[in-house]
Amino acid sequence: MARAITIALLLLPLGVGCRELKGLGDKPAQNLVSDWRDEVVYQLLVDRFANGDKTNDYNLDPSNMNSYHGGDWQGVIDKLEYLQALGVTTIWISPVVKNVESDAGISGYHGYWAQDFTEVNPHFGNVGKLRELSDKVHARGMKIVLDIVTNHVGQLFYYDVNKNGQPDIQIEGSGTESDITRVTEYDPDYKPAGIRSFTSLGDAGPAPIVFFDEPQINRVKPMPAALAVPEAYNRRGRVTDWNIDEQVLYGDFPGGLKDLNTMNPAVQQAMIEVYTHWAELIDFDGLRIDTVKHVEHEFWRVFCQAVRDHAIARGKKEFVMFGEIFDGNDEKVSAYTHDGELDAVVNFPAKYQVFEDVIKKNTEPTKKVQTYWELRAKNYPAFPHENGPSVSPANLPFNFLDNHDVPRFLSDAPSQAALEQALFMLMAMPGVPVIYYGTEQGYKGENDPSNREDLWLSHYDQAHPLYVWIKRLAGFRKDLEPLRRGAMVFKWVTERRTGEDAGILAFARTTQGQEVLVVMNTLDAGTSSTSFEGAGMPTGFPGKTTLKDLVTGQTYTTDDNGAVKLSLKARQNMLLVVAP
Amino acid sequence: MPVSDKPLGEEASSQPVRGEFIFGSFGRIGVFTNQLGKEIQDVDVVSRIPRLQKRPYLELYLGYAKRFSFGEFNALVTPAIAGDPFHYSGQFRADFALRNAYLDVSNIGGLGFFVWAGSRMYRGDDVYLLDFWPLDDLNTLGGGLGWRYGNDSFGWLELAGHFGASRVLGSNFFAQQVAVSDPTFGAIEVVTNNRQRLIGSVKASYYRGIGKWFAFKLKLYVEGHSIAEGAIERRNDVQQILPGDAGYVVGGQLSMFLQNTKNYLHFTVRYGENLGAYGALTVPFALNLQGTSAGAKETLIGLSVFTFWWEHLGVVFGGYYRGFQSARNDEYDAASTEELAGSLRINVSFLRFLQQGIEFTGQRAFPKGIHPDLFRQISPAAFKLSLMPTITSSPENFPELAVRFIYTFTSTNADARYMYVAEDPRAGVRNYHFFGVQAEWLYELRL
Repeated sequence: MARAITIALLLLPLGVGCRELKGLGDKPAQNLVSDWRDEVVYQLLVDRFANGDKTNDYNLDPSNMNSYHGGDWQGVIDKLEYLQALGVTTIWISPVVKNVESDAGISGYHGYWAQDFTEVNPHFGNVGKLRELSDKVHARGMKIVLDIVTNHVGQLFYYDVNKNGQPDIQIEGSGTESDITRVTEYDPDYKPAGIRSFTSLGDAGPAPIVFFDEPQINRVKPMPAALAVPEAYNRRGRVTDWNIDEQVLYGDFPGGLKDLNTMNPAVQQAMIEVYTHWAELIDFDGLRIDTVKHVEHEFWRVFCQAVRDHAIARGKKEFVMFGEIFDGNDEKVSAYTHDGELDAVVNFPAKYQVFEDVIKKNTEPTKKVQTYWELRAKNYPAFPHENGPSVSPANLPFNFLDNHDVPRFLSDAPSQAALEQALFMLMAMPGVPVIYYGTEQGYKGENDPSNREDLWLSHYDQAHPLYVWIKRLAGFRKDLEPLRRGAMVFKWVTERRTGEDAGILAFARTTQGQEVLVVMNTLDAGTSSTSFEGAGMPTGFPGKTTLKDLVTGQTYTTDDNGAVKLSLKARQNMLLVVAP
Repeated sequence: MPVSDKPLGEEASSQPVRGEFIFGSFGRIGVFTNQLGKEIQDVDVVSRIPRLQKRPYLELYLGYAKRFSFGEFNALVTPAIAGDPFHYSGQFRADFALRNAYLDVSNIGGLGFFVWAGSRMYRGDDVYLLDFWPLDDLNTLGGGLGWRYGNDSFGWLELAGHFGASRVLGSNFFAQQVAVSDPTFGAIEVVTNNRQRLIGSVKASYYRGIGKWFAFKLKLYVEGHSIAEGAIERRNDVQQILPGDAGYVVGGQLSMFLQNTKNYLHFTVRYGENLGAYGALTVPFALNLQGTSAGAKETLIGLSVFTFWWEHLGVVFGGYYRGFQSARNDEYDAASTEELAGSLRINVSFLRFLQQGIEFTGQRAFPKGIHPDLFRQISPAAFKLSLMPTITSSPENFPELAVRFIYTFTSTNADARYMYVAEDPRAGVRNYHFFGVQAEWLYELRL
C-alpha cells in the first residue's frame, strides 16, 4: 500500500488530474462588422462609466475629478443592455494598459499615462475580465474598439540636468546681474538639440535620463524592455510652442509625458507587438489612436500596415484604425490617411466647422457645410487600404460632437434643441457617428477633467429626453440604409443669415433605389423655409410625390416639378422618405 | 495533531476531588536555510502545506480542572506565539494570541450534559501531515452545549451545538474607525463599521467498537454563518454599504480505528456555500456584483491515514482535494481554483530513540484565472522529498518529544515559477534544497 501511495504521490505533480488549460488567444476572431458606416459608436471612459466590481476600488476619491472613481470593465458588462437599448453597436473603451498610478496629485484614471504596455490596469479588472467584456459585447452582436497611445508614456523618468542623481526643481540666477529662471528636471522646456546637462563649469553634455523607482505609484521602468532605454525617447523636453512642428513631433507632452522616439525601429516594433497582441488576445474590432499628429507619418505607415496585415492573418476582417488629429484643418488631418496610414480619422474638422460653427453657434451659414464636405472629398483617399476596412477613408469619418478632450456640447449653455439637432446631423451625415458617454444624460462638463463625469450619477435614466432622442435616431439609422451608406447630395444650403431660407440645411442621402431627405432649420429663433423668392427646393423626387417626415409623422407633397416648400420652426429637423 | 481513539465522554466521579492544575505545551521550533545560506521562502502551490515547513510556533496549555458531584469544571487558557519571536532577531517582539480561554462544565448532573463558554479552538480531527482540520475548525468567542451518552454495547454518542462570533481585523470589512471633528477641539474616533461573523454549528458523532479490534466513528456536521449589513466611510464622506451575508457548511466524517493501537483513518467531506465557502477567519473576497458571497462554493475532501504497524515501521498519509469557486463565477475568475495535495511519511526506528523519516509531497493547483503575462491558465505543481533523521522520546509517528534534522528537496514545474513576479528570485529557480533542524513537542501534565 505504501508503495502505491508513493507512486501516486510521485505522479501527482507530473500530470495526474491534468486538464486542458484555457488560453485567451485560443478563441477564433469574431467578424461582425460588414461596413463600419453601419455602426453607432459610443465612447466611454471606463473609470467613469460604471462601477461593477467593488473589489478593485483601490485608491478612489470620487470627490476629486482627477482621481480614480471606481468604474471598471465589469461595470461596462453590466451596462451593455443600457447601451444596446440606446442603439449603440460599437463601444470605444479608454486605454487598458497599466498606468502610472498618480503624478503630482493627479491619477492615471484616464489611461493615457502608460507604464507597462504588456499588462492591464488593475483598477479596471484583470485580463480575463477584459476578454469577458469583449466576448459579451460580441455575443450581443456589438463590437469593441480600444483606445491606444503610441506617442508617449507617463512621466517615467527625469532629466538629470545637474547630474546629482535626484530630480530637482531649481531657481537659478540672481535677478540683478542675471535673470531668474526656474529649471525643473521633471519637465524641462523644449530644446531642439535635446536636454543638456550643465554644471558650474558650463555645458556638460546630454542630460542623462533616470527612470524613477517608485513602485508604490507604479512609476517604474516602462515595459516592454525596448522602452526602458534612453534611445527609446526623443529627450528634448516639454513642448512650449504648439505651432512649431518639430516640437509637436518630438517634445514631451505637458505633465511630463515622455515622448517616444517613434522613428527608432525598436520602438516601432515594440508598439506593433504590444498592440497586435492586445488586438488578438482580446479580439478588439479596431483601434482608436491617440495623439496621431505628434508622431511621424513614417511611423504610421509602418505601424498601420503591420497591424492590418496581422489582423488579416488571424482572420479578422474589417479591423479599423481611426486616429485623433486634434486639428480643425481638414487638409492637415486627412494627410494621415494617405499612403497606408490610418483607415479613418476622428473628425475634428467637422466638429468645428459643422457642429460648432454652423449648428451650435450659427456663426457660419449652412453653405459652409457644403463647402467643407466638397473639399473633404478631395482631401481623403477614395480607395481603402490593403487589408483594411472595405470603406475608403473618404467615406469613413468618425464624426463626433464632443469627447474627453474638449468641453461637452452643452457646456456653454446652448439650448437642448441645439444638441438634439447636432445629434440629428451626427446620425444623418455620412460617416460613423460617435457619441461621447453622458451625452444621452444631458451632461454639461467643461474642459478636462470636468467633462469626465460619473455616469452613475445619472442613474442610467433611460427615460431622459436625450436618451430617448438618440435611441430614436439610431433606430432611423438602422432602418434606413441611405442614412448609413448613402451618398450625400446637397439640396439646400444658404449663405443668408436672415430671410426666408436663413439657417436651412438640406441634403439627400441616396443609395440605389432609395433616398432620404434630411432638412434642418439651424437657427435658434424664427421659421425658415426651403424656398427663396418663390422657388422651392428641388428634391429629386418625381412631381406629386408624397413625403413623410419620420420625426413628426407629417406628410408633404412635391409640386409638379418635384420641388417642395417646407416650413421649419427654429431647430426643427425633418427626415423625409417617400410615403408608402 | 492526532486524536486518540478513546471513547467519547467519560463518567465523572460522584465525589468531589481536589482541583488539578494542567500544564502542557506544543512547540515547533526550528531553523532552516537553503543551499545558498538564505532563509527559505515558501515554494508551495497550494494552500495547505506540509507541517514540516511550518514556521515556528509555540503553545502553552494552562488549565485547571475540578470535579464535583454535579459535574466537572475545566478551565483552559492557551497562550500562543508565532511569527518570528526569537531573540536571534535582536528584537523583543512576538505575535501573540490567546487561542483558548474558556471554561467547560461536563457531565452536568451525571447525565452527560456539557456546556462551555469563552474563546475556543473548536475542532475535530486533523490531517496531521498538512496541519489542518478539514471538517470542523472554528475559533470563535462564544459558547456551546451538548450531551454525551454511551456504553460499550450502545457505542458512544455525542450531540453538540455551538454559537459564537469571529471578527477578523486588518481591513474595514468587519470594523472601521475613523477620525471626525470633535464638537469642541481636535478629533475623536468614531466606529463606523462594527460587524461580526456569527457562526452556529451542530455536530453529531457516534463511535462504536466492533469486535475486539475494529471501531468506527461517524460524524455529521452543519455550520451556519451570518454577517449583518454594515457601511464603511470612504474618503470625503462617500459611504459604501456592505450588505448582509450568510452561508452554510455541511459535512461528514467516517473514521476507522484499530482498537488499542494508534492506527486509524479519517475520511472527511465538507461542502460550503456562500459565506460558508470562505474560512471562518477570512474576510470574504471576490464577491459578486451585489457585494455578497452568494454563489461561492467550496468542496473539501480530506484523507488522513495514521498507522504504526509495528515497532520499527510507521506510515502516515495526509491529503486533500479542494475546489473553490468564488462568488464572481466568471469564466476566468482569478480567485477560483482547484487544488490537490498529499504527503506520505515513512518512519523507520532504530535503537528505540532514533528514527529515519522520509516524506514525499505532491502539490498541484488549477487556478481558474488567466496569468497576466502568459494570458492563459496555468497549472503549478511542486514535488518535495524530505529526509529527517530524528531523535525521539518513543518509537512512534508522533512522539511526545522529537528533534529532527531535515533535508528537503523541492522541485517545481514551469507554471509554478510563473506564480511569482519577475523580480522574485523564485521565478527563476526550479529546484531548492533546504537544510534545517527542528524540535517538536507535545506534552500535558496534570498536577
